[in-house]
Amino acid sequence: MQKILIQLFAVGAMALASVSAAAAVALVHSVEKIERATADDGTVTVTHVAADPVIPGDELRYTITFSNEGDAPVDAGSIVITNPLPAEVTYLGGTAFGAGTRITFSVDGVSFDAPEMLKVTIEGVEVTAPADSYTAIRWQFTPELAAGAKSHVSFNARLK
Amino acid sequence: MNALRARRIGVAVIAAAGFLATSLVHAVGVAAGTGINNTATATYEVGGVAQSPVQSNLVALNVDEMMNANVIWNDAAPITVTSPMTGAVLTFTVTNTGNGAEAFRFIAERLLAGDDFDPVAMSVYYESSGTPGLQVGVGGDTQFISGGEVVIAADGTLAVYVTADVDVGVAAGALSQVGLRAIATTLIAGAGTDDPANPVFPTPGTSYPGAGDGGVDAVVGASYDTSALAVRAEGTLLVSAAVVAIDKSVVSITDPFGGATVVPGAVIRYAITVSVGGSGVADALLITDALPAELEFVPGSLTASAALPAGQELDDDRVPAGIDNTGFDSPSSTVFFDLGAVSGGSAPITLGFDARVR
Repeated sequence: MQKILIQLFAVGAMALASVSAAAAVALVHSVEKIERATADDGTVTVTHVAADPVIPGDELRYTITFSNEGDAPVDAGSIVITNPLPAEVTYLGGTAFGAGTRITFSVDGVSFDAPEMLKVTIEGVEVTAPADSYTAIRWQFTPELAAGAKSHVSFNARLK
Repeated sequence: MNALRARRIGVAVIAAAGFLATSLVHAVGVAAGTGINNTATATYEVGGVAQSPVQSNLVALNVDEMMNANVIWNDAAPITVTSPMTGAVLTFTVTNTGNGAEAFRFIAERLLAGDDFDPVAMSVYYESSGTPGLQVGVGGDTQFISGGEVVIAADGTLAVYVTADVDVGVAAGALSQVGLRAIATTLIAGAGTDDPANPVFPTPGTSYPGAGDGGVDAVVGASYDTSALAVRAEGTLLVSAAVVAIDKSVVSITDPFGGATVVPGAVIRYAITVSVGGSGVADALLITDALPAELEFVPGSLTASAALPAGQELDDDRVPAGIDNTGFDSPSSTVFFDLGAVSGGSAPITLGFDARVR
């Protein structure tokens, strides 16, 4: 029993040592503006442009790229990325994306859950929280992230 | 460009600090100049051991100015005018539906096609007297000088009055369309043209770097889309053969103590002056004045400066209705004068009565 505990501790210490040698997960945040043009035949063309200028009503896409800069794999299911929404934007329902992630939302910034489990009280009636009432988004990356590997998550929001 | 961008991000950070407690979000959107900062954090484990959380870089956006305006014509029906007439008033409301303060130029459109006649002259005033409606003269509303500008705050509204003069010889029933345009002076500067007869409305989305409120970019909003132009409205003038004008005033106040103070028991003498303009005849002209609950009619006080039509008695009883329509109607506490047919241009008729303060 004592031996196993010591071994576990040793593994942990080794992992910490390798991480401090080269910082493991790094996040790079970026934003762009989404423009949608509808042609006469109804075809919608979506283009991504620089978010400048931005005016009320503009659709923005925030992308968070995460990478493993270390030399040890990051545990499967352990990467949890949280993005509190700026007060000046409204989340656009159904736009949160992340390959291999479990996406949850929050209406209070504290507890996170699947959209159908989130409740808010509107005019005295408890209802499933509409997407525009979300205040934060969380992604849990399910697989292991190998050393040197990277992935990204994103969501769209509209400027109030 | 890089230098500009760096400066802008710097501005965004400062603005964000200022707006940390409460974001300034107008009905029309986030105020121009507001900084929007976004960061994400991540937690993770390596070999079953939780690592220190990491933060992303900060993504800073600076909200630019969206230039939008809405102009509506407020009068419920065409403004009745006579031919000739000076100073017919159309009332418009201009709303800055953008997210920043903006200077606007007003352009009145006199020579619109597709109507029956055009006014011979027009002027533009904007509300500054504090009293709703157009007040001309000292302490009145401000005349907008052609080519000038008036600043309206984001979400702000301004009443704008267009006065029109009608020439002689326009037939009754003729209609005239009168337009009012509000255009941000930033657009005029950007488009480089200011021809009222051939206005240029830049395509929504066009942006003018640094030209917005507080030095942000100014972007043309959807209200300037020529297929659904919201920055322009039209009002209508309708020429009528006869137009009735009524003016009510207090002639005298006599209190029970020989003074002129409005106290219970004081008697107020009212005068109602009725004038009919135009070349036609105002038929079945009935003047009514409902007394407020604080006043009681003084019997026998009705007067008229001209003879009333046959059958109309300046008595206290408005009975039977349909024959003698003139008098005081006690149930409704209303004074009635039936003037019948009055020709346009005839001498004004002054009607009077007394009321006592209860």
